[in-house]
Amino acid sequence: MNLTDRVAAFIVDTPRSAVPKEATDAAVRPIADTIGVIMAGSSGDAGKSVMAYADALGPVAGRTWTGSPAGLSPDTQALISSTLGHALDYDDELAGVGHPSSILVSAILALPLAELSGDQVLEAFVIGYEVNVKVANALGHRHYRKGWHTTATVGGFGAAAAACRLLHLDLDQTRYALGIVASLAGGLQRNFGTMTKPLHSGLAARNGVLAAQLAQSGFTASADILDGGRGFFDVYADQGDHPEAIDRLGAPWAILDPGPTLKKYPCCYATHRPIDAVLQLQARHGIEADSIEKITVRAPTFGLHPLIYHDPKTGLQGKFCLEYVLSAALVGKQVVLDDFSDTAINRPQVRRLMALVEAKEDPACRPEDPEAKNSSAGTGGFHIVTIRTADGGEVSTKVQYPSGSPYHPLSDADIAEKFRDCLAAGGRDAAAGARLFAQLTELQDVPDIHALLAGFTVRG
Amino acid sequence: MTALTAQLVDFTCAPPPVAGDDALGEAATAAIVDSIGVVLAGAGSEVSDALHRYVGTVAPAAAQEPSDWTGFQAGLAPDLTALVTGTLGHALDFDDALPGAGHPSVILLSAATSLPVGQLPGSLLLDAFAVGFEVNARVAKAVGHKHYLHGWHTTATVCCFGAAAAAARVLRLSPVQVARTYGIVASLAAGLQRNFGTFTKPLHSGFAARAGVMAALMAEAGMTADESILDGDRGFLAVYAQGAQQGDAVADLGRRWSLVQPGTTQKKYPCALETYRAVDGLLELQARHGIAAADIAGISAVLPPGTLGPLRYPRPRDEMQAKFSMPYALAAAALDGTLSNSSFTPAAIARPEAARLMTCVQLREDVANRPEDPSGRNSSASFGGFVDVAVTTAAGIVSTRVHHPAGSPQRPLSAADRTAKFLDCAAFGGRDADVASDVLPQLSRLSEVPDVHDILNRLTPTHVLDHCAQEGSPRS
Repeated sequence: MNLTDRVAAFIVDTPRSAVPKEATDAAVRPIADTIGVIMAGSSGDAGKSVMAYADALGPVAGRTWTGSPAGLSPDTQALISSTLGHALDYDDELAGVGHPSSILVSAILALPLAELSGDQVLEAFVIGYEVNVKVANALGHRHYRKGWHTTATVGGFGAAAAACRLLHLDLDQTRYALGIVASLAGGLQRNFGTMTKPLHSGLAARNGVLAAQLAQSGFTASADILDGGRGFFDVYADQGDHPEAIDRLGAPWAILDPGPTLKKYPCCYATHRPIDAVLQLQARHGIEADSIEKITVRAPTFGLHPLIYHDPKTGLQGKFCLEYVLSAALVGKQVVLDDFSDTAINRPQVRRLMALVEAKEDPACRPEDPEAKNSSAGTGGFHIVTIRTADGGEVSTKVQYPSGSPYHPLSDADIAEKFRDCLAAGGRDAAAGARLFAQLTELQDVPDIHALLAGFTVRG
Repeated sequence: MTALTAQLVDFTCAPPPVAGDDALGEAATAAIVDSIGVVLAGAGSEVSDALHRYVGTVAPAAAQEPSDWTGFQAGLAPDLTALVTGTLGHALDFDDALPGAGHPSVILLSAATSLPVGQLPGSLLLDAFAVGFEVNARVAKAVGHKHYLHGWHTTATVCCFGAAAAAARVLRLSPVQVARTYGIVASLAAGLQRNFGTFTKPLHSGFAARAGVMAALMAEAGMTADESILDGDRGFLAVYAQGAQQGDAVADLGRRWSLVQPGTTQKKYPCALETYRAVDGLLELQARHGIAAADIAGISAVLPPGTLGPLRYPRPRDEMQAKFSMPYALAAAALDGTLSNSSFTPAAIARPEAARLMTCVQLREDVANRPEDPSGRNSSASFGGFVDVAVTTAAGIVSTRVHHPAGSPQRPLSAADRTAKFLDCAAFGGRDADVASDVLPQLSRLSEVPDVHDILNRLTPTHVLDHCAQEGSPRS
């Protein structure tokens, strides 16, 4: 079997009984987290813009739980949903893979299925997650370094896999869906720091739904798109760094190993370890923001690569500005959604600190992979952050694993708190939100998730 | 160096170009009319059946609505209309081509006519089309030919910029919105040649039209994006040009219109352009020497390097594959005396005599047939160099050399050819012959038309073609 055969067979032929309970259990938290983050998305500028786009597509008669107009085609529903899910850069992530969960949840919930049990959601999510991760692993880091945004380019494969599974496509149709989604794979890192970055997540979800529904309707495509010259791996990553990753579909299940990172801070993942470091130093040593004279960050090679803004003009750019997020963390003693408004980024106290941040990459901070060939900006190696204060004191700490990562997971209370904040930001009712969260934590027992979410329709 | 993106943005927003430029107006009108024809013909393709099933699935509420000129329900969302129109227009591989820049015209037409703007005056369509065509040509030039050699389908990856420009023009976006439109569409640019010979190839055309419409509508709705996406590190050219981006792509922007110079190639045959010169040579030899198909014992073609790359199906099994098969194109041309839509039906492909002729075909690429660019690095295989064709019969061997494909600027379709093609296309798409004859002269005076949709809607099919399954149920 070639690579495409193996992926298609995995999607179609994996029996439900072969998906372990540990894997579906592990999917519950990221799915609940994602639904919260999608609902929060309309509070951001990107969320507002994508909603304005959706409203302009035709007459609006009713709205879905995401806030999107009802009656739009499923692929457009997925587009809106996952753009919202990534609008605040608050959705979960997996190193080297991107942000699969928002894409998968959006694709799954956008499909025109009358009833969809929690168990079906979990199964399709785990299958889609697995395909997303192993295709990303096969491409390898080379793909990202060329300028592609992996969330966008690879996310479509995961979404297509989940959609093919739920629509019960056969092997040929599934192969074609992979062929079609490969011809939709786009997304440039140059759009980071603009609303088009969250749009990438929406596009990936859309692409998966579109490809699966086109294949279901009889559209043919290359039956072996991952293989050979001018195939997806060839064009997007010179055949890929690790095509053998496809042999590891389901072994282990990526949702268990390495497992997702749920984000504690609503900004670029590459900033999370330095944020943890400054907050740790601040708490440990009682440092007041105004007493700081210098903040030095030694980052692993490539660790600063996505952080392309140094003087952010918008809240969104601030998410990709190391100087800003560290300064905001020190001033607020936390990093929350409110830190990324266009006014928050101009706080004088924060701006003073920003000028004191000095960051540079150091291969010694990535000893296992000094040239960053195999690991991403947010993981691999470690950060060393040093703060010097006006009294001449200098303190320093090293952070290897960010908060929310599998080595340092968020607590149940952290997750419930994040869900509550997200629904508040998205203008949803708090009491209903608490009930929804409780039901989502028992997702495997939900008879129909659409019925569960229907009550969250926002007003038009 | 003024940034490429900024120059294209200025160009996209410049005052209307077509008024007062007769050559440009004529060229744009001809390209638009040709594109309308092939969209109509698309209704007769197998792809159209699948497209109907798809639309029936994703927009069930629209199923009861009357159709518009494309034969699909009026009132679909603009992005879906663009997808449908663009896919239909490339379904038969009969739409025009600009060497190195894909198949722009159907995509531009699809984008410009799908937007929710109420009236669309002919003059605005012409402006949007001319600007979109030019942006398409310039981005293609900038990205260079290595892009195609790497495996991208330029029709998908580059024509989306043209569609975005046309859409931005129709929507009258501001310069900053246009810059963002390009930023967004760059993140939508995709399409692999490996999908040639499948239904996904025409989808690429629909994807490109839809990408342009989406990007422009999103920018209008307030979506931001990088505002110099073609330039610099990790920009569109840096990622997609494979290191071969051309710096002089906009040197004469606004002074030379690609629609006029070099001009587009309107297709004479509904199949891959790479087959044309060999087919032309064969037909010329048959006519000159009175050779019947049954007399042919051998057909040989010596081709410039790169010609056979996209022609992936030596023994095609269906109409999509047949359009990318040199042996089949030659066999069918020998039998039919030309290549028309009816040469590519399943019944035509199954002809035993076609099977016999395919076994007589010998193909070879030779660097000597592309002396100006032996490696094929800089030019499209349909246009560079020349093709040598020889036919063997019991009487001996005759041969000829063909430099320019039929329909190219050097051998353009005559007015009569173009009229015949439009009417053939309308008939293949199930349209009434009298209506098509009546509409054609109106379309030919496009600049005077108050609302293009009024005329297009006269081409709405009055009945559904027999083989168009409407039930919306997936094919198992």
